[in-house]
This record gives sequence, C-alpha cells and structure tokens, in this order.
Amino acid sequence: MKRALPFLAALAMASTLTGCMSIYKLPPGKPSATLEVNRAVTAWICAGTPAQRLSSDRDGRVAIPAGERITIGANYSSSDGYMNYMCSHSVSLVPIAGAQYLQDFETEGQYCNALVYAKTDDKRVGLAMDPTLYSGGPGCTE
Amino acid sequence: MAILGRWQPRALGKDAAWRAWTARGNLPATFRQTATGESMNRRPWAAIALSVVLPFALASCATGYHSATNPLLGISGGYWDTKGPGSLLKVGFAGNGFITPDKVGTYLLYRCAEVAQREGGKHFVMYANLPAAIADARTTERSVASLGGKPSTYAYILVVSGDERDALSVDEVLTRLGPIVKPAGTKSADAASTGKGGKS
Repeated sequence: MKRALPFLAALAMASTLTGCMSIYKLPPGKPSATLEVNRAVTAWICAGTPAQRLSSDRDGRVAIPAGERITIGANYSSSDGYMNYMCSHSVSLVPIAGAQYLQDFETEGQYCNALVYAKTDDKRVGLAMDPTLYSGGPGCTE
Repeated sequence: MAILGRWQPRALGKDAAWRAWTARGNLPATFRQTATGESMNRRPWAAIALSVVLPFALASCATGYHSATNPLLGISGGYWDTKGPGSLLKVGFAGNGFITPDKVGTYLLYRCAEVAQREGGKHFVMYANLPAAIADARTTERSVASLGGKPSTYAYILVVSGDERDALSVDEVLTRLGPIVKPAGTKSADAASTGKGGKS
C-alpha cells in the first residue's frame, strides 16, 4: 500500500485538475471543426463557457465549435515516485468549419506547451500554424 | 501613453508563430512540483541500505544507450521513437539523474542517425520541435533540458537526399559518435532494436 501512495497521490492530483470539469458537448446546429486531441493529457475547452473536458472518440477526435474564438488547453501530471509534476497550457484560435486540427503536447525541462495545429495535405509535415492562433487564451468564464 | 509591461496576447500565425516562439526563448507554462515520498527518518533501515547501495549506484547507474522499452534497463530511461506527423519521425532520449545533459544530446543525435538508417536513409535533417518543422527551420544540434534533475530531449527528423540544406550524414554521425556512444568492448543492451520499425 505504501508503495502505491506516490502513484495514488499523482492520480488524485490528476483528478483534482479535471475533477470539477463537465464534459463538453457541441450545441446542436452549430458549425464545427474536428480536433484530434493528445491522449497523454487531459484536454479541455472554453467556448464562452467555464473549462470543460474534451471527450474524444476511439480515434481521438472530438467536434469543436467553428467561427468563434475558443480556448483549447491540456493538463498534464506525472510522478516519478518521489515528486509529482503538473503542467497546464492553453492556446486560443478561431477554427474554420469543416477543418481538422491537431493538439500537440510537448514538455521541455520545466516547461510545457499544448499547441493546436491545422492539418493540411502537405506530406512533409502535414500541419500548418493556424493564423488565428494566440499564445494563451482569453480566459474562461467562471 | 502606451501601457508598458502589460502582457498582451499576440497573434501566432504562419511564420510569425515560429519567430515569436523562439524569440521568447522558453515555452510558456511551467511545471509545478510537489513531494510525494515518505520521510527517510521513519525508516532507518532504508537509509542504512541506501548508504551501502548508493556509492555503487552513483558509480554505475547513469542511463546507458539502450531502448526505453528495455524491460530491465528501461527503468532508467533510454531512447524511443514514433512516426508522424507527416513524414517526420520523432526521436527522444530520456535520462536519469546520473547522466549529463551533454551525453543525452550525444545519445539523441546518434539515435537519430540510427533511426534514419533503419528507415533506409543516408541523410536526415533535424528539427527542434513541430513549429520549427513547419517553418523548415533546421538544426544540427539539440538543447537538453532537465526536470527534477533528469535530462531529456527529443527532435523531429526527416530522411532526405544528401544535397539538402543542413542535411546530416548517417554514416558521418555514426562514425563520429560511435566511439562515445558504444565504446569498444561494450555490448549493446538491445542490439536488435535498431533493426525494427515503429516505436522502439
């Protein structure tokens, strides 16, 4: 039991980060785009609402609203048995209806980022920076 | 009078994104750390055992050049790679608290060359991250950062022909770094891993 404590602590903290979030559902009739979320993190969205968790399908895809500025974020936590590490980052963008996006999550030392890229037909990278992408979101409503 | 010192969100579109990202020098969100281990004072036997084991550990347990999925040695870290997005390959190396950042950088470059060779290439270009790959901002070395005293890094590579700008030669990298990564007389912990595709 004692050995499991660090991992249970990490799990509890991960739950704390996301436990209060409801699951986002795209309002019916709203134009939408598709986001492929990073499965290593807890992805969330603010679309004129408090932060809500993004629940993806089997392929990791989820519908997000298009034509309005939204914030897409990621919460990440890990533990090495001695320390728990938590990092959260978000960006905002205005998705185009019908377009496809990819949420990436990277850690670099003590920093993390969760950028969202537009998917393209380019075979080299297959991604492009979205011209509406902002670093950091406008904030979520309480 | 302009408001100075107040952060304003800035558009990160197309090439501006990469310039803004690199100009900032660091990624925007930082890790928070909290202790979760138990106090050693509650378990004196553990402290005694550790004092015996630690000198040996300090001398010999720096992460070696092996796969992170190695069932025995992978607990200390190692290299890994994944395919995508597009034609890119993401290659990484994670070390423990006993390996130096310089060595992690060397191991990463060597592993990039091995992965390019595995994919049938003789040359490859390296990108520090996805924004750099999108902007085709190539690099020939990768910085290494640490979290909790454990250095790790990654890079995206693309197998290319030899006449490409900033292309690195697989043979040249393997020859130059081979004596450092795999000194004569040492045996690879997972020699078979270089011959497999996909995640290793």
